[in-house]
Amino acid sequence: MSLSKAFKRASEIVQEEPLAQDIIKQLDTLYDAVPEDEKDDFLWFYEQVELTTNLLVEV
Amino acid sequence: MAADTDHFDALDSLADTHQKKLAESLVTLENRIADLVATAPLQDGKLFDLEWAVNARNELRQAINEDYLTEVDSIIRDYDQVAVDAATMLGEYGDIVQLDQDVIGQLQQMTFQGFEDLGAEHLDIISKQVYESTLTGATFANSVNAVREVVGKDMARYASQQVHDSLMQFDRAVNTKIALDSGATRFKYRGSDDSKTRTFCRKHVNKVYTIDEINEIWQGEWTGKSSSNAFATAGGYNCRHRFRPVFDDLDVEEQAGEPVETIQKRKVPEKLTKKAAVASVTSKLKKSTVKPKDFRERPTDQYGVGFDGKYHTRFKPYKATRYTTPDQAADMLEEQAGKIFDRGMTDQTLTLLDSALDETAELATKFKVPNIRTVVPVSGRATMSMGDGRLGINPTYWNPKAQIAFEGNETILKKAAKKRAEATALRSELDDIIVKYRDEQDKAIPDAATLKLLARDHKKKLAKAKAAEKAANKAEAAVPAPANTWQVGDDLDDRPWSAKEYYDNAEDQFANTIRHEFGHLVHQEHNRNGTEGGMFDTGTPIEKYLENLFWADKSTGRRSPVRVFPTKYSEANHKEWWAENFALYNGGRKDLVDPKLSGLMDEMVSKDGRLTVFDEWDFRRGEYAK
Repeated sequence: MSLSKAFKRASEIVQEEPLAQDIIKQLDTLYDAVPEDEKDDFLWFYEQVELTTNLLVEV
Repeated sequence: MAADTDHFDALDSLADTHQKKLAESLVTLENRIADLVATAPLQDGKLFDLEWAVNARNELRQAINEDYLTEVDSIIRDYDQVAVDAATMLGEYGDIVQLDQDVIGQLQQMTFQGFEDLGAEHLDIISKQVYESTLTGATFANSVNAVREVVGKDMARYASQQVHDSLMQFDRAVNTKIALDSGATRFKYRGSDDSKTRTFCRKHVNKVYTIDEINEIWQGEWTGKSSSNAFATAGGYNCRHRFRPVFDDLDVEEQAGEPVETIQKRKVPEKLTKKAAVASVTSKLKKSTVKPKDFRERPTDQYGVGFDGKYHTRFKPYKATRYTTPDQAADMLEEQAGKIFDRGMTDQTLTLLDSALDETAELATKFKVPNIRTVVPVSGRATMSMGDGRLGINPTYWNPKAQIAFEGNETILKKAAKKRAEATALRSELDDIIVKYRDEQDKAIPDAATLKLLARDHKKKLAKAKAAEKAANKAEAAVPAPANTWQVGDDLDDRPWSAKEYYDNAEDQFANTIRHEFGHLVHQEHNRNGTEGGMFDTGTPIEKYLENLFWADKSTGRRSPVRVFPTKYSEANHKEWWAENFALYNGGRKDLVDPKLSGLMDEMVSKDGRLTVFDEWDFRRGEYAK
């Protein structure tokens, strides 16, 4: 099964180091664009980035 | 080969031929309808002639009759020979009576009617599509594309499944009728057992049951089930299995011992009330987070705390903001430990969680890490998350799945159907509004207020229709698909995206995801020294080891070619690779786990304390042992 462009794009941006500041916003946009049958798998990208975006950093 | 297997193989082959023939006829039909649309009068390249659009229905009907139903008729004529072959096959197993030719004729007639209904339904859809394209002044190209979409995709998909299922149902009906008329009381579930076989069928294939036993088993729920009539629909949509009568005890003994599924389905716990579930979860969280006075002297320091007695913090606690300092975070985590913030979680989700916490308590002991400290709702779309022992759960995602675990697919599918019907009704109202809007526009002096009202009504109803469609999609998506059957060595493209897809039911998928998150807890907590985290997070000793194994060349993104990646998601990074493998290792699927990680987990479990040196890696310092 070939994946949609939006899904492939998401799999690329979650690999970037460092992650974009607005990574969640970018994922949200792509999530809306992926077909229904890819949405469940797509949710794992949020799980993946949360391990980084949820890190506690000194402000 | 056995007579029944020969017959079923021939039937599978015939089903393929029928599907191919029908697909070809639908391509012809699609092109013919596209040619018909090409005859529509155009104005500036757009369709406009409503009279033509109305009259087109007759030509569409004729096209469907000539291209689609003629082919269906030819296909169903093949059923005569299928009935003869079925009787010949059954004759190999005992003395059978012959089936009345009238019954065969009636079955064929009913099958044809099913295809006629499908044709009529799509005639309506295509006619409406052509009319709407004309009404809204769609371009010729868009109109053709829209029609091709209906015939080439929707109609082809339904017809393809119907042509397969109709043949199988016909054969099953003939088989069963002959068997019952011949006095059969026991039946063997026969058919293939390969990568396409659904878990339910694999469980029963080659087993012999009485009619009462069959009726009882088929009352249950499983993914892909289409009805409780075992003899007519077997395992459900696209199923290739059927019952064959058993007249001889030898027949029972010969094949009853053939292998069936190896994974035991998780038992669904008894549902608790929300209050009882919260109380039980809280009690378990409290128990796992109470620090005894001598905690720092305990050999494995299972509480993961610093010299001040507070938990190490690396992640933002629940309700933290971007301005939360590490000190504040430590206080917040301390305050939240032993508690659940159950906002939005149903009694069913909480019951599954309560049961899962018993498993994580065992995993905590086995892998020498603290247990989950607090449970909170996730802040975003992730289905679950983990950090510092804070388990995040997404109730929006898990509540419908938990409902399926306790109530089966039926309730949620009914809800989906209701929402789908609601959306269809709204879409119909929207069509009426468009017609009214255009009528008003066509008046010599259109009434602006009426147009505004219609536009507003359209916007409102469109939003409602979309919301109903979204709810239906969501409910349907919550129903688990058949379990993935990939094994190490198979084509990598056939792997599931995530490990939960190796399970075909909601409760096992929930438990698997908890195990995945607990895998994160293990790499975050095992041998943690408190210096991890911050702007330049370097990771725990185990994370550094995993990173070393995972990459062949991190700078180019090349993963190690010698590792096993049991799911596509496990290729994301070393932490997800570990978490996916951890979930499978502890979920009864060690056969899918990377051998290196399997060895590491064996060592963690068998060792009395935490890891020291393994595979030449110093797990206290996070570097190669000197």
